[in-house]
Amino acid sequence: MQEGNLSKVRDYLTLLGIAGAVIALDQGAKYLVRSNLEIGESWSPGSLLSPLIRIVNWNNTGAAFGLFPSGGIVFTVIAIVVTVAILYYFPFVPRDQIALRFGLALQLGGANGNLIDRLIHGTVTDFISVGRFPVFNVADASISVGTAILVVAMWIEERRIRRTKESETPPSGGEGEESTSQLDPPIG
Amino acid sequence: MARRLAFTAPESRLRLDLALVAHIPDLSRTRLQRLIRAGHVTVDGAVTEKTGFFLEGGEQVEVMIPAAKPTTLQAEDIPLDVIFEDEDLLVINKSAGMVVHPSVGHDRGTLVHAVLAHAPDIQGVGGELRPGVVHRLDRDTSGLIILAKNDAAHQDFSRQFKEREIEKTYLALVDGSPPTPEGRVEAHIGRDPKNRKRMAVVTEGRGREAISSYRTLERFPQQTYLEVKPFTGRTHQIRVHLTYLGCPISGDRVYGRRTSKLPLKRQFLHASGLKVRIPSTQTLKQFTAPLPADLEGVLLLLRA
Repeated sequence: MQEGNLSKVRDYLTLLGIAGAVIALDQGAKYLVRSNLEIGESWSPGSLLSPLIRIVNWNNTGAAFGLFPSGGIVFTVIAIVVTVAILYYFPFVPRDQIALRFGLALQLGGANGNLIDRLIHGTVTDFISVGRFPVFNVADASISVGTAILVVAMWIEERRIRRTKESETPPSGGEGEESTSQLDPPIG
Repeated sequence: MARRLAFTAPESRLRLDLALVAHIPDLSRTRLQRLIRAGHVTVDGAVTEKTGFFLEGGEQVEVMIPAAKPTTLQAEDIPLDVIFEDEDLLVINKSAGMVVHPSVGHDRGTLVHAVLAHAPDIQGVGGELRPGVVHRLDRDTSGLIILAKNDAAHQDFSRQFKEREIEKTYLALVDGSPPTPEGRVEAHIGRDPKNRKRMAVVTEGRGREAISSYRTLERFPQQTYLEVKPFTGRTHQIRVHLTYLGCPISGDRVYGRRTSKLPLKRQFLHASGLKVRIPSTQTLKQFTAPLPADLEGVLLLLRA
């Protein structure tokens, strides 16, 4: 019982550590942007990067990357639901599934980075402009990367399971309706 | 009146430019250096263009000092697109390729030369070489420019520009797109430390404050059509700010991409609107100048 609780604490430390780092980075950057740039004002980090990355103080009311702008309260609710779900299910994820755990932690951090904005300011500050892509922030990037990691990890896991299953199937020619009749020796 | 001066170099080693300084006290050393480099000085009959040339002693030095250029401008019969005129001001839709007033390298065919023909009384208003000029447009920028026809109006407009009471609107096509559909830039502009012939965004301690705001009018696959409103009037402000944002003006050979797929012979920048207080009525008046044909043609091409 002691062992179980201790490992749970370690789980949460990892989870909250990663999520916390994301939130700190996200909120820290947003704070710098809000205090140095007016709404709509842009800053360029350097002429070499210029067309690629620009910093701008921009408000968005929608989901990540400014999608669904009239979503409003829905996104706050979703963020809270996601947070509760991840907090509850995290210890159940096998310890060796590092990618999965990392992905979930990133999603937790990202969801809350933007949730904080919505609760305190009523709108989300986006500040990274890349080419023609909608302006986004660290939280958006964290959610995306987290989701991508989850998807890829699950896909790899799926392939691994499928390969294991395939290596366990008996060789063709034995019993089973799947044996192809083409392999039957010709008569005569 | 051109002058010719000759003297014999003294009997000790002396730099050419310093020798000239000693013999021609009424000209500055810089001026004399320029004369040397321009080939106006001969040493023993041979033209010497090196200011650091050392005279050993006894050489015959000759200097040709050209006559000072006349300071009065001559009116030139160049067509002008006059948008508005009253006794105090002249609002002109300047075409691209025309410099506003004479400067190094441009001493004829400028806008003020044309204006002198149209309104001769403007001569001397606010200065001999820039009569009536209260603000400027780049040579390759088309659009509205205002000139004052008398000293009182000149002072009034200069003040309005200085106090930022004048609302200026520009139309620009840029390569790429700005970070947000609308927004602003507040970045100091000063001489480019790497290239004295250009301006650039410089750190806050240097240069001068410059603010521009923009709004997207139309989006194309590789360009964006913007309306730009500069709140300050620094040299090349819009061009520098848009380049800073990562979306330089299409066709801008100095601040933009070197090649453009568009049939543009100059930067796509046009001063389309000017809102100013007229001295005679003390009311605000809005002037507009539609896009010229060369720029409109490019838009039509993009919209096709």
